[in-house]
Amino acid sequence: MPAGHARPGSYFACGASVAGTRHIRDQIPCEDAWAGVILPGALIIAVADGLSSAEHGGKGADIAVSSSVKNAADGYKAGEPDIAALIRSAMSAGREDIDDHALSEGLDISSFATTLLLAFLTPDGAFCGHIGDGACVTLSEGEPSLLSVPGTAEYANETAVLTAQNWESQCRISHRAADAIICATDGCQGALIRREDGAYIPYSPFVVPLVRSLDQYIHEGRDLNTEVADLLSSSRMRALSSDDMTLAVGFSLSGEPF
Amino acid sequence: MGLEKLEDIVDIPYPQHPHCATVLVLDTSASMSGNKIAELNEGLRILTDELKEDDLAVKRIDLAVITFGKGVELVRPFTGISAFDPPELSAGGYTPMGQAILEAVRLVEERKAEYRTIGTDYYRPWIFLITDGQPTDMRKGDEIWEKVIEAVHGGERDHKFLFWALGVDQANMTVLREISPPGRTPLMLKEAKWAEMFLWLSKSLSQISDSRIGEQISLENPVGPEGWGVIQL
Repeated sequence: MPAGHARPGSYFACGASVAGTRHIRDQIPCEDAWAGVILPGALIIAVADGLSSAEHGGKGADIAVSSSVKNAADGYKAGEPDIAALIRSAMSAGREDIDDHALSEGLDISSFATTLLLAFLTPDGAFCGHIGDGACVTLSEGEPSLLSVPGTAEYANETAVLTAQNWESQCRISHRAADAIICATDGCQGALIRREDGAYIPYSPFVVPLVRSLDQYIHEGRDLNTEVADLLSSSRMRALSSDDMTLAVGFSLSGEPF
Repeated sequence: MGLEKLEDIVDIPYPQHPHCATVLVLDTSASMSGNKIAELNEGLRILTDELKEDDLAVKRIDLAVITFGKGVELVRPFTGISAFDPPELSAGGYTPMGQAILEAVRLVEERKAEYRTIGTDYYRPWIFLITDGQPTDMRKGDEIWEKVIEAVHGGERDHKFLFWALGVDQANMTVLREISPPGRTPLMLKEAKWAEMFLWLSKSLSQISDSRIGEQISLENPVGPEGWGVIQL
């Protein structure tokens, strides 16, 4: 993950995936993954949750985030102006890479079942492609908004996955003006979004100080990935869920010394 | 001076737990008199005590009890485990099992609608039927029978709930097999294994309430040598 430089107007991305308490107890590695890249005038972040029910869900999540971010970055650098099309194409490439890997191992792609959330932050706002659960919240001049919420599976332990045959029909693309994006897998989505009267709302007391503090930490020379990992490993975050947790944040730097 | 950490700065909300509606549909007909009703009552106390020891189950399981004997009665509406008071059941009357099953199916659908209205995530509900006899309010092929079969088999097929039938003593296992969803063989309780069955139920609900996305729940096999049940062919 390129660290970037603390230059006003430029972008910064950070994040972490940590094993949930159940995986720690059962000595199973984290099956979430995240990846990010900073480009001239844009940043790209992906988070994925490999399904515990799939034997190689963690590997599926790894491939999904690394492949989709790389393909999205290549397309952006090649000058593709349609970000939504770029996201669909990058997610498709991620799925193909999982399928290729599965074939090379003599396995079915379903053994690598994973969700995927792929987000861009550009001067034209934030764009998100999303299959499955997890969430993406944006900030625009400090005001939080929902960009993408968990998919509409009826039951709490069911989700759509990138590896399904019908993944394209499950893929939701959204866009809104933004200068920061916060992406989470389902293990910690409860910190970003809350249900009130049946509808999701962003949880401002978490997301607003999170981005403000990370921006400040850059100026203090702190390692943001470690700071996010420490947050995810805290007992209050662990209380949200026993699942693996991934939180990734991208924002444009304020440049203001704190 | 230590640097301020993110966890000291951001407000981490309290978790909004998904809920799992569970209905026990219990035979309290006259044939359950004596030891069996006493064992059933003790089993309900064991179930409640065990679930109260499980932090997640306390937050996630909503338990309801329907009895069928002297009519069909909702003796406990859906209640969180911490507030659940196990009923003291008494035996008497016939075996209106068909109406009781239909009531359980209606109840879980109503509960899911409530979850959706207030915005609570939920797991697929569970329905457990326990009987020592056979239905007296329906016969194979009649209107109620067809309704029950469609409700149970269709409900499972459409992923509306999970249905388990457990037979005790003289239970008509042929009828239970026909009522049970395809692939879900009804289980016969071994003699004097009531406590084990309710412990199994408690463990199963604990597993469900801690299940993650897409996870296949591997419930402890109740028909092993140490288990409480047998499959009667």
